[in-house]
Amino acid sequence: MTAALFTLPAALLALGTPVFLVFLSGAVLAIVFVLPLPPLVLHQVIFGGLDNYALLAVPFFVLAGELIARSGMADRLVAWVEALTGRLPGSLGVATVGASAAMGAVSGSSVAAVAALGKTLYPKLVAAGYGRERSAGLLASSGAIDIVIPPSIAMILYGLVAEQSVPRLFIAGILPGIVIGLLMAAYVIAAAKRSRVERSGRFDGRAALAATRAAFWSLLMPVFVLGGIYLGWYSPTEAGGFACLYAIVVARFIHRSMSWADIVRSASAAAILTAKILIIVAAAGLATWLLTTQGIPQAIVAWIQALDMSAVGFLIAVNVLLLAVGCFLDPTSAILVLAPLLVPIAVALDIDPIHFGVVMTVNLAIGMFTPPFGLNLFVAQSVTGLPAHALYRGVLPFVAVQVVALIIITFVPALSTSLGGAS
Amino acid sequence: MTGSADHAGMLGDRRPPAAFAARVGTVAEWVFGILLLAVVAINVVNASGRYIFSYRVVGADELMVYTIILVVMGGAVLALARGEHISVNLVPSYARGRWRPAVLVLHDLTALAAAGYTAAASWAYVTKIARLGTRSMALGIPMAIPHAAVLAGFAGMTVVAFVLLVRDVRALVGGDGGGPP
Amino acid sequence: PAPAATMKLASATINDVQHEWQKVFAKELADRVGDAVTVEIYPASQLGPIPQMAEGVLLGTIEAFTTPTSFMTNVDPRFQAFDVPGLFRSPQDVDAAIHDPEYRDHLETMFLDKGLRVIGAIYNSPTVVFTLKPVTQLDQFMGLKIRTFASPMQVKPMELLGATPLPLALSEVVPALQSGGLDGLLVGMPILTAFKYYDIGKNITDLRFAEIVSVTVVNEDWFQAQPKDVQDAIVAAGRAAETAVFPWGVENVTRTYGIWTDNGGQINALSSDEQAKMETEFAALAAELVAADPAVQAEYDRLKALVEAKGGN
Ligand code: NA
Ligand code: NA
Repeated sequence: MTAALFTLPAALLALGTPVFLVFLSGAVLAIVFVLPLPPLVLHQVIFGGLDNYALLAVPFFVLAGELIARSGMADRLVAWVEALTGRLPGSLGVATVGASAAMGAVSGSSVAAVAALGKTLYPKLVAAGYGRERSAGLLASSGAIDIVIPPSIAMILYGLVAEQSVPRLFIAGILPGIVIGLLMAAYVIAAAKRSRVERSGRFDGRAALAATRAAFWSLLMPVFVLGGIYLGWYSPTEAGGFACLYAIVVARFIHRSMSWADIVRSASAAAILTAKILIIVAAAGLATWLLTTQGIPQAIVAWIQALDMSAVGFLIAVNVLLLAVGCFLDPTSAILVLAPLLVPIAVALDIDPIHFGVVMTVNLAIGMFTPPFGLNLFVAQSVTGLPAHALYRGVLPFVAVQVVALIIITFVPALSTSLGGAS
Repeated sequence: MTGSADHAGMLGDRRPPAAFAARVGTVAEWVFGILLLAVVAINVVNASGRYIFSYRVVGADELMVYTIILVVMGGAVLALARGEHISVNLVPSYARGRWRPAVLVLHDLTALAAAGYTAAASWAYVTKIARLGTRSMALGIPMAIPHAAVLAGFAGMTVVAFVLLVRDVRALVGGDGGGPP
Repeated sequence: PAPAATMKLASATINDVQHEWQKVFAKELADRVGDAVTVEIYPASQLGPIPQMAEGVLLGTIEAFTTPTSFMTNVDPRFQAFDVPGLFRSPQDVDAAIHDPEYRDHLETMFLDKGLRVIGAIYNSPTVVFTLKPVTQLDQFMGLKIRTFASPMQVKPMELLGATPLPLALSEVVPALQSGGLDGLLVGMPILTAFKYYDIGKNITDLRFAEIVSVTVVNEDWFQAQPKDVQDAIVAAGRAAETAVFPWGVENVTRTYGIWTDNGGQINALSSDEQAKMETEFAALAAELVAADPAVQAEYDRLKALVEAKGGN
């Protein structure tokens, strides 16, 4: 029966059953046939998973993405990138990575960034010749930068359970986030050179100026959103709402490219996409709850501890474990469950707990787009409409790139500690 | 993503109940969109009020979160009815040929069993919370109200799954490879 | 023999006095009943955020939950009585009230109508005001944005001082402090050192107006499903853990003050005149707050009498 708990959901998943139903039916089976738990758990965990202020970032940034895409603000930005850097191979791909980093500096939510940027940039990337698979892979994987660059909900939670300073964790994430971004950009340029992605001709100063003027309000948006956070006008979660407000004002009153009906239509689409994402988050919470109360993470960590490894061996084992865990759990639950178990071992091995927090965060960020499970994958799939196997092919090169970044971040602790992030 | 108008069109030439359902879906979609815009407005008023006037909107956080819970559960029902939920389609070839209605029936049965069981659990939860009379911290509203959104969502999904099951079983028996594309 | 029962014992924090009580309780219980009850401890919100754990123990999906009383006020308003400003001003005040034998018996069963039994009641820590800028006079609170819980016991005192109380979500607090969107927060002293708040700001003002009491509540249906000897053992183990952990808690608070100053933190206090002025104002406020609910008033009067009888206040 216990085997059925894993094989049945896997079979349902492979046959295209909605992901949230895979989690839900697995939990129902477990409660009906295996575990002595009251069915009330189902409701409690689903409601508790949704009753979370930080999740508001998802509807806000999803709506902001819809508005930017539908209002033409995104087109102006892309035209601007092309006018300035059109001759360089991979410029739009690099701009995607840069946009992810900018989103990362605004929000602590990776999935919201994938949804917002996916809506905006996927059609442009495909039109520029990046290919559907690689474009979707790039979008799904770029979102990982967001939870490494501050602010980061994952790091706030790590600070909470590992009793580490959140500001130091934030500082510690900056260089590793840049490393991931640079490696991604390098790969995108190399791949674009190899596959001769379309270039948009010679540089024309006057055209560049015109494109800059046209994109003025689009370019000002990140300044407004980021500036507001850093001036204390609003919190990172609230910033999502201000991003929507900004886009509505520009689209309705400055560019006059959207009617009120268009705006409501965008909001409807954003509401449905939010529902499709958050119902998975809530249902996946059931898996975390059941695994935790069955002591499974505890057993795995006890097994690693019993191997009595060196610091290097432990870090490698943790990386392998977390990449695997990331296939099934979202980073926030994984950190709440695993950090209290892993951090004491790390500290006993003289590993800096701030550095360890960065390693955990990067791992779980990668887990969000490693096949078969990962929220960023699901969202990228929903936004692009690609079948899973095509998307899997598309993300694999980026998994490789980010694993290289992970190895660097793991074995060069100075990246995490040199800016003042040491504990 | 397919817009609401396309859905209405797609289902509109079917039997009258289907057309009616499509219209209900379109209205619901508008309601969810307007609720989301309302949440954005509360967020902006709350943050601006706090920064500019040191004024706080009591319970703004709760109101926003509970509204989004309602939008999520309602949106999940709608997405189930439209076959739009995110899925990992690992066996894409099933989408063609006579296996398609069989796979759809399997999806419907899964949805019916999982959502139905959860709705029953949800009913037990909501009635218990209503009896205990707990209230939310800031707004002081009975917690049974936001919880009821989850109950309504799973009850709605159960009904939708049943309707889809009847449709897809007919298609399977009739062998017309039915269901919307 | 009956199959072993499992008690999932949850809390939001880790390595603090709540966690310590849970560990001692598990050991005390094992000494009494062996493996008849398996106590599984889930600290650090592993079983969900606080409201979810509170509902979990009410509905029986989690058997027991250790928490500051302020997170249970929506379950029963009488939990507010412990947080009335000015009631407790030292660990000894708390000890005098909650560990009075007669009161302790009353406390154990007072929430049975909600399906909860109190099996642990411990001194947690003082509530202090963390601020970015030093505050040593009452008028310096004017206009400061201070994060509080959504409870009137925290909101009203801050309003009285002229500050703006903001019930921000926990995940927003650090970014808001760093960007100046928030000037400070009301917080239990050990939380400040556990999360190394001295990296964000250096000042606390020790107003000595509230001490946090933590309780462990167990689901009564689950409790009643246990054999009589196990029930007795749970009650006894809970009280034994309280006795054992009280000095640990007091010392832990002293230690956190030391950690705060060792890391460059400043501990500010009001002048005795200003402290007296604040206490007078808070006393009037307390009277007003508890008068809103006769049940809270009755509980408060009982606690107040115990504190005064032991020479506190
Ligand atoms: Na971020
Ligand atoms: Na994954």
